[in-house]
Amino acid sequence: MGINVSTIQLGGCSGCHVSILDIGKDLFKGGINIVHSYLLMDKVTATIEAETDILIIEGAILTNRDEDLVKCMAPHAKKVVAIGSCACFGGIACLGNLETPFRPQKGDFNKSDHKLHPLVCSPKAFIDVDYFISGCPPPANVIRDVLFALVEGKPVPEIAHTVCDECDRERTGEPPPIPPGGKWKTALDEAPDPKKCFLEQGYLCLGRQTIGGCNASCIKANMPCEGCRGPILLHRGFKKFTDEEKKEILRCLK
Amino acid sequence: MSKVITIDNVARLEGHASVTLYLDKDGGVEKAEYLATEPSRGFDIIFKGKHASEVPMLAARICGICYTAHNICACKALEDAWETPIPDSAKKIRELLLFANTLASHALHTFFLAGPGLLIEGANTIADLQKKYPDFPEAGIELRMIGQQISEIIAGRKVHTTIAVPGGVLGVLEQEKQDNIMKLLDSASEPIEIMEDYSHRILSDRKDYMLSFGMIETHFLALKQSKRLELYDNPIELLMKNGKVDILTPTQILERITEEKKDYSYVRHPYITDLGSDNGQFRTGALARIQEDASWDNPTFHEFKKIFGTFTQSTMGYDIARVAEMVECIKGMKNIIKSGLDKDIKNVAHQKDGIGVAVVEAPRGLLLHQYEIDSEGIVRKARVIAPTTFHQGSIERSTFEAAKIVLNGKKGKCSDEEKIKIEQAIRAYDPCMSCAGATQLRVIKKPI
Ligand code: SF4
Ligand code: SF4
Repeated sequence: MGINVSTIQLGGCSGCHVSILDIGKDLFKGGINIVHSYLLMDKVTATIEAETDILIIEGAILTNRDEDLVKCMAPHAKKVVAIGSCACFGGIACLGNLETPFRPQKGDFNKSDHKLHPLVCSPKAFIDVDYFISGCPPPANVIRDVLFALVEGKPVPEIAHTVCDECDRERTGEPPPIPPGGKWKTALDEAPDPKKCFLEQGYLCLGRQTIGGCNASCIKANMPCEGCRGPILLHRGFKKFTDEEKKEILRCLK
Repeated sequence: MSKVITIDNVARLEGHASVTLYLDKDGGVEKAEYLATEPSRGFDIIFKGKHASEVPMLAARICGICYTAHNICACKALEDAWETPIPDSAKKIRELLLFANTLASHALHTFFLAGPGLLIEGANTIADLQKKYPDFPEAGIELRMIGQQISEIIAGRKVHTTIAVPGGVLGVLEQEKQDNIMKLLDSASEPIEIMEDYSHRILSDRKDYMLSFGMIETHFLALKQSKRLELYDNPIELLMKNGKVDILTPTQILERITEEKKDYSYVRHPYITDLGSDNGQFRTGALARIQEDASWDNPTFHEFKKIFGTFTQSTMGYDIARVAEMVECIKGMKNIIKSGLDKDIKNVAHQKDGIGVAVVEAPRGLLLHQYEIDSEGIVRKARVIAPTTFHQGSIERSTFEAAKIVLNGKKGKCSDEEKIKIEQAIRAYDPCMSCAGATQLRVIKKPI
C-alpha cells in the first residue's frame, strides 16, 4: 500500500533531506514507503530499479555522475519532484559558476565519473521535472502538503502569493523609500524594529519578490527575507516554470 | 594476485564517500582508502568578492546538518577581524542554538544512521530496528524534533538558521518564547531516558566490540570542557597521545597543520606538521570533547568513564559520548534560560580591513573559519576547515582496522553484509562530506 518514494542527493548540502525528516512522525505514519534513500538506508538494500512512484531530487548538477544519475533514475519514476532552490534553479551551488570554478590540477583527484560538470546547474536541464518545491530548504510543511497530495491523488496545492502577503508587520501603505545613496542597512547595523516593515526602516528585505509558503518565518524572527524560495516571477505555483532557463543552460553547455 | 574491493557510496552518512580496500593474495587487508567523491561546491569562490555582511547567511548553506555552527563561526571570525564584542544575551542565544542543533544532529545520527548497526549486528535500516525495538526510533524522532523546534522558535526556521549576524543576533527571545522552549525541554525527559537505556544496553551487550572495533591511536583536539558542555567559547586544547596538553589559538592551529593532498580524494588529509603524517593524526568531536577535562554529571557520562577509562582511543566511544552530550545539551539549554536573557542582543559592527579567524564546536567537532577582508568590507579570501576534514586520515585508518577484523579469515571475499559491518566504523565519526569539502584552497603553505 501507499506510494514508493526514492530520494537522491546531487551537489547539495543535505539540508533538503533534513527538511523532509522535519515532517516528523507523519512521514512514517503510512502511505509513504521510502524505497531508496542514501541517507536513510544502506545502498545494498535499495536498488535503483526499485519501483519508484515519486523521485525526489535534492541539489544541483555538480559532477558528470550527477547528470548520469538523474538521467538513469528519472525515467523509472512516475513523478519527479525537485526539492530545494539548488534543484529548482541552481541555488547556492550555482554561485560557484560566478568565478572561475575549481579546475583540477596535476595530482588532484579527478576520476572521470566524478569530474566537475562544465556548468553547475539545475537538473531540469536534463530531465522533465513535474513539481518544483523551492526554498533553502523548503519548509517541512510545504513538502508535506505536496507529498500527501500526491499520496492521496489530490491536486497539488498552488502558491501564487509572496512572502510579503504572509508578513504582518506594520506598513504605512506608501511605496517604501529608497535610502539615500542606495545604501541599505545591513546585518552590521543595529537590530531592526521587530514590528515595522523592513523596507520602510531601510533594510533590504526580499519578501516582495519571493514565493510565499514559508509563512514569513524569518521575518517573524526579525530577519529580513533573503529570498530563499526564489523569485515569484519565475514560478507561480509548483508547476509552471519557464522553459527559457532550460534552453539557456543547454546553450551555455554547448 | 592482489584484489581490490570497493564500497561504493557509503550509505547513511551525509554526502558522498566511497572506500577502496586493497587485499594481498591471502585475503589480508593491506591498505584502505577513504574517498571523498564529491568535488567542493567551492565556498571560497562563493565568498570571494561578496560583502562580509552576507557571509554568515551563505556559510550556513555549507551544511544542512550543522548550519548553526557555520553561521555562528562565520560571525565570530568577522567579529575577530573587526574587534566587535557581542552582548551577553546574544552569546546566550547563540549557545542555545548550538545546543539545539547538536541535540538534533546527534539524535539523527544515533537513531537513524548509527543506531541500527549498533543495536543489531549487521542491521541496516530503521525498519529492522523498528521491528525489534519500536520505542527507540520513536524516541529518536521526538528528540530530534525537540532540537529542531527550539531552533525554529529562536530563528524562525528549522534548517539553515541565519539569525546570528556580526555583532550579535537579530531577534530578541521574549518570555513567551522562553516558556515554549522550557516546555519542549521538559518533554525531552522521557525520550532521553529511553536513549540512555539503549546506550547502556549497547555497552553491556557489545562491550568488546565497542572497545576495540576500528580503534586507532591519535591525538585529540577540542575546546576545553567544564562542568557543562562547552561549544561556543573556551581555550582550545590539543591532548596528545602521551597525555601532554597544549593550549592553542585558532591561528596556531592553522600554523601547526599541513593539509596533504591525496590523488584519490577531493578532500585533503590534515595532520600536525611537526609530528608527521602518521604520528600527527588527530580527532575532534564528541570523543575528543568528553576527554578534554569534561566533568559532566549524567549517568551515561559516568558509565562512559567507567568502561572506557579517563583516556581512550576507542573509536566506537564516539557513539556513547554523543548520548552523554545530548543529555548535557538539554541541561545546558535549561540553565541558560534559567539564567535570564534580556533585550540587549546586537552591537553595531564597524568594518575595516583585517584577517579574522574563529572556531566553534560543531556537532562533529572543531570547526574553523578564516576570512581576509578589505576596508570596504569585501571578502578577499576565505577558508573553512570542517571537523570532517580533520577526520579524513583517522576515518581511513579506522576503516583499515575495521576491515582487518571483519575480513579476517574470509579469504578475500567481502559480502554486502560484511561491507555494512565495515561501514559502521566510518559512521562512528558521523562524517559530513558536504562540510568536508567546503573550500578548496590549493596552496596551503601558510595560513592566509
Ligand atoms: S536548496 Fe539549500 S538546503 Fe537544499 S541542498 Fe541546496 S543549499 Fe542545501
Ligand atoms: S522569509 Fe524568505 S528567506 Fe525566510 S524562509 Fe521565507 S522565503 Fe526563505
